[in-house]
Parts: sequence; structure tokens; C-alpha cells
Amino acid sequence: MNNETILQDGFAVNNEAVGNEHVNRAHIARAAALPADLPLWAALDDVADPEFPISVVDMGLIYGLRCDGGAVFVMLTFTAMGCPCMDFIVEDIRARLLREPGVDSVQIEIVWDPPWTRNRLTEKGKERLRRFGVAI
Amino acid sequence: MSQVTQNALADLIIGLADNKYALGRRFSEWTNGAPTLEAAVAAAAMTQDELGHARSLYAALSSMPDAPEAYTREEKRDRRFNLSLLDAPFASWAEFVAACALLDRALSLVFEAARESRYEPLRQRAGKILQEEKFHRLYAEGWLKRLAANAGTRAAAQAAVNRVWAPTAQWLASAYNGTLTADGTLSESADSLRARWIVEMKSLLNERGMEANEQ
Repeated sequence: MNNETILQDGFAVNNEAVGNEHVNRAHIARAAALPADLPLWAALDDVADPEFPISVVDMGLIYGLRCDGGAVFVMLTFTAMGCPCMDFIVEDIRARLLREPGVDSVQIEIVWDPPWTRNRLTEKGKERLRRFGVAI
Repeated sequence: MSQVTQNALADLIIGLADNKYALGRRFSEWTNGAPTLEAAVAAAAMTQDELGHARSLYAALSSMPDAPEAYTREEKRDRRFNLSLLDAPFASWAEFVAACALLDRALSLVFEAARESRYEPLRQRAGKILQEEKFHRLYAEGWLKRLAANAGTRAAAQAAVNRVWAPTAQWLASAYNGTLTADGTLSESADSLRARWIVEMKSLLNERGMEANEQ
């Protein structure tokens, strides 16, 4: 079994990046949802999907972004449960958000509902994928 | 959630996770040895899916506050809860196909019963697992048809089905107890799922000129 627990930012995380119950859900609920035009969304737009030349935002992997003071909460999904890049994506997101001024901690909750489909791609993402020869 | 329900839920999840993990391990052995290149690619993709499902279920288990350490801590695990037929490599491609068509489908039926679960971590995962399992089912049913079309391979497929049938039916009937249906974690009893599985599998096999061996 490969779900070792480590501590990071004061929270337990595991190999599914963060198990749903490890994040502080009450804290997430209190945190404010961030409008799409705020800098943290732009920061996430810098994080590329390791398999496709588009960002995790354009892939439609970000199901929610919330903030409470310096604490940032990301609700993240993956295209497949067997995605071999989960750890990379999670760590890239965490590292990029921690570079933003005022961000002290990043908690990432993995969510599977609703399951990701290609309909989650943004128009910009679809366009970029088409240019790279991926049928959408 | 009562302690009794939590225990039953932990038992269910460890059973599902261990079976997914073992199935993934067995599938992986055919990424190098499947009868066609396409089948090898499919085996690799299905391996990745099954291990991904297992990973996610183990994570769900480790997030349950009262899950037994014998389930959540690798060094304390003294037994696995997968079907014993998954303890050794499949002897033939026909066994791969039979396990995918019958056993993987049985596991999916449990996730179908969890689609509206009031236990959110299971409900969330059920939807995604079922999305991915759609392709496993189509693939297995296609191969079963292909194997059944030829007298020689049909005999091998029938033998493989016979081997998988009884342990799968037995597992499905005992996969969980009534506690989980009573409290809304699962929408259907294990007996009912087993009955539905039998009807579905008989139809699948009969359409291909094969038989269900209920011994």
C-alpha cells in the first residue's frame, strides 16, 4: 500500500496528494471563493499539465479556489484516477501558489465529483490542444 | 455514523481496494504477453486504472478516523482481502478476459450501489471509477465474444469463466452486510447485487454460446 502520510504546512497529506478528510473542511467552508480574475487564478494558470501543453486551469482540473487570510484552498481533480502525474501536479500547484505574496499555506483537496470530462476544458484550452494536434 | 457502520464501511473499502490492487497487479502481467499489441496496450491502460482506483480507495480508508491500523498501516497488514484467485498470475489470456468480464464487473456493481452513498468519499470515488470502468466492461465483453466465436478458444474461455464464477459470486454475496444498506451507505443489499450479477452474466455468456457454471 502506498499512501504514506507526511506532514506539510501543518496538515497531513498522502499520496492522493491530500485525502479528502485530511484537509480542514470547516476552514474551507469559511474561506471565500476567489473570482476568476484574481491573481491566484493567474498563478495557477502558470502551472502546466505535465502531459499536455496547457495549464491546469485550462485543463479544467481546478474545481475551486478559496482563500482565508494567508491560507489558500484548492479543490483539484484529475483526468484519470491512475494519473501518474498526480504528485507532480500537486507539488507544482503548491510551489507556485506559495510564491504569491501573502500566501502562507496551501491545502489541496482531491475531488472526483463530478468526474472530469473533456467538457471541463476551457475554450482557450481546447484551442491550444487542437493546435497541438489533439482531437477534441 | 455508528461504530458498527464505520467498521462495516472499513471492511468494505479494504475489500474493494485489495481486489482492485490485486486485479491491477494481475493485469500488469499481460502488458508483456497479451495476444495482440492492442491487447497489451489495453492491459497497460487497465492496469493503470485499477491501481489508480486502489490508490484512491486506500487514501479514503486512511482518512477514516477509526479505520483499523491493520488496514491502513502497511507494516501492520497481515492479510489481504482480495479473492484468492488473484493471488497468482492468470494462466491464460482467457483468464484475464474472464476476470475482467466477471470479477471487475462485480466490483463495479458495488460502486453502482455506492453512487448515491451518503458517505461522501465513497460516493465521489464511485462516480469516477464507474466512468473509467465503462471501457473495461466493453473491452472484456468484446474479447469474450471474440474468444467464444472459435470452438478452440471458446473452450478455454469457458474454463476460465468456470474458474472465476464461483469465487466471484461468493465474494459478492458477502462483500458487505446489511448495516451499510440500512444507513444509506449503499443502495442495494449484497444478495440483491449478486442476483443481479448472475442475471447479467448469464445473459452475457448465453449470447456468446457459453454457460454459467453455478457450482
